[in-house]
Amino acid sequence: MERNNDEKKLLEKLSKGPTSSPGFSKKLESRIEEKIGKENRMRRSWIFLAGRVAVLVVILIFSFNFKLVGDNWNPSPAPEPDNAEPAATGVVEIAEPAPLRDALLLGLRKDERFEKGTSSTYRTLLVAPVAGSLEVAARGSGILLPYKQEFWKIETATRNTEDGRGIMRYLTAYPAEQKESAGPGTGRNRPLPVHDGPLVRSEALTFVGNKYVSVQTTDYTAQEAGSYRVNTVLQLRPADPEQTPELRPNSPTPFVSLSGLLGVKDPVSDVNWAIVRAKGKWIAMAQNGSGGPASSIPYRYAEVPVRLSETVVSHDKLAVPWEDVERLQPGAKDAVSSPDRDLLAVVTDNEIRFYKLRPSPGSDGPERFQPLPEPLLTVPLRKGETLIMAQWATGIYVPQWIDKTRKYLDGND
Amino acid sequence: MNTKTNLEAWRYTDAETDAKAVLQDMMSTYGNDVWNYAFTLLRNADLADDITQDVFLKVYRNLSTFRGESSVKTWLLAITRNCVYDYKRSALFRHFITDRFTHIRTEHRSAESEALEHIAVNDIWKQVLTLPVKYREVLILFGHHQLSIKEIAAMLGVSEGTVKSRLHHARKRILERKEGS
Repeated sequence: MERNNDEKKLLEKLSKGPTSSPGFSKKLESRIEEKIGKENRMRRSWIFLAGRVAVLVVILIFSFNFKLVGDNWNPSPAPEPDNAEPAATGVVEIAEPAPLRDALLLGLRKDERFEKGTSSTYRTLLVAPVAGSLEVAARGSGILLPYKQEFWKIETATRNTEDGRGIMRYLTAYPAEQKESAGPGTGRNRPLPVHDGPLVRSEALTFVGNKYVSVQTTDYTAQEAGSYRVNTVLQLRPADPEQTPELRPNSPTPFVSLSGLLGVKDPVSDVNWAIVRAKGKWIAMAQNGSGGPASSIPYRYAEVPVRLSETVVSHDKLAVPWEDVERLQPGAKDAVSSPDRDLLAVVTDNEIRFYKLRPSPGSDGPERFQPLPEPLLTVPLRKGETLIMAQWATGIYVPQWIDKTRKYLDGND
Repeated sequence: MNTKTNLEAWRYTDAETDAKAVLQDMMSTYGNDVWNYAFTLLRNADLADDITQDVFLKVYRNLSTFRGESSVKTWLLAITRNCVYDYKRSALFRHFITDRFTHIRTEHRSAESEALEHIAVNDIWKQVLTLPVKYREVLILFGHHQLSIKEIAAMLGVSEGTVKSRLHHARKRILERKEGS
């Protein structure tokens, strides 16, 4: 007993840092930033010099060829790629885009209203380069998300409420491998008896990220009052998969607080907040004022003035300004771009168009990107479908994700 | 809640600025984790500074190849460990240590005593820092960085059983020393 207490104390004391003051000081942070700035300046100098040399080499080659063939020179036009813009000068060809490298795992949500409430359905698509061209490499119903080194699934399940007032639709998460290994009628796949009754409460996803999800709940007994919460993926796991996999414990619904995750210290509500999509980025919205189930006024929400950290969202930075997206695709509702800045996906009311990106020619300042005018791929959307997940794979993860998503997604969406 | 300025600014930043912002975010979130791990492996604050700098420079250079999965912390700690072991292996490091030992001995100090002097949090940390490195690091990764046995095993390239065994011996040594004192 005493030894257990000692072990507990040992771990408690280790949870603090080894030094009385934080070892990672502001001075060290500045030193690192200074070093990076120096490296960037050197890199830009080299790129500038290399660019000048490349232009010179191109001019020399052109001049040399022209001189050799003289008046007999009658060049046939080089075949242009389908999606290439007319090149203004020979130098632009240097900036032709490299082959696509990244893959995008998209999660889509569709709401359907019916007499007794709203039902949300989900589907997942993997858009990836396969044999040199961009295609929907895998698709299926439900949400499939990468979680640590595995893939997990999130689905909606139905059960009776504890008080017998009706039924509720709730979200549940589990490792994708587990679903496959469980046989029909056993473990998770065993159907639980659900009695008829009015829909009392439903849950729907507004965001699926690295390890967090944002959940919208609707309470139909309180004039459809809605509220939100953020959970970790693990918090959506059933309580005990071995016994009653579809049931959660009667304990209060777990949540991730706004202050705990984003460090916002003075919110009106630490619980009622959400992560939602807004024109090319994920933003946090929190309750701002009273209202809700106990009141006739619905909750009001306002954007939280904080940037979502890498632990919450990854690669959430558009490579082109939103105005360029709207110019490219009037009526664009949303857009995402790849970490390698080679692909732009533009969401409209009825489709997602994927455009190749390339560096803007002739910009002397920081590197900028522009989409080629013709899309490489167009994926139709169903009416009212919205984006709730956009996860990027790069490098060695691209073939891995193609294999895994083909394994775990059912192909029916 | 006026967020427009900040968010609009983000939208128009260029790639380089974006990478810097991501790095700043990582440094503010995980800077201490990286430094603490380097410090516990090397028991020297100056070297921990150098290693931390190397780690974040590597991260910055390779941000585009990182897919931003959930275990960023584990990823950073693995890079830290590689940097520490590269540093230890390098001839430069051996030369540096020789010089440093010569210097230190003249002042009757060692890397270990410097570490013990530098820390002031509690006696447990002092005892942990005197453990052999193989016990020290599993205990720190488990107790301080809150990594799971599976994550530690993957990072160290050993079996989960080995991690559990090392953890057991590390705890035992610390508790025995505590009882003996």
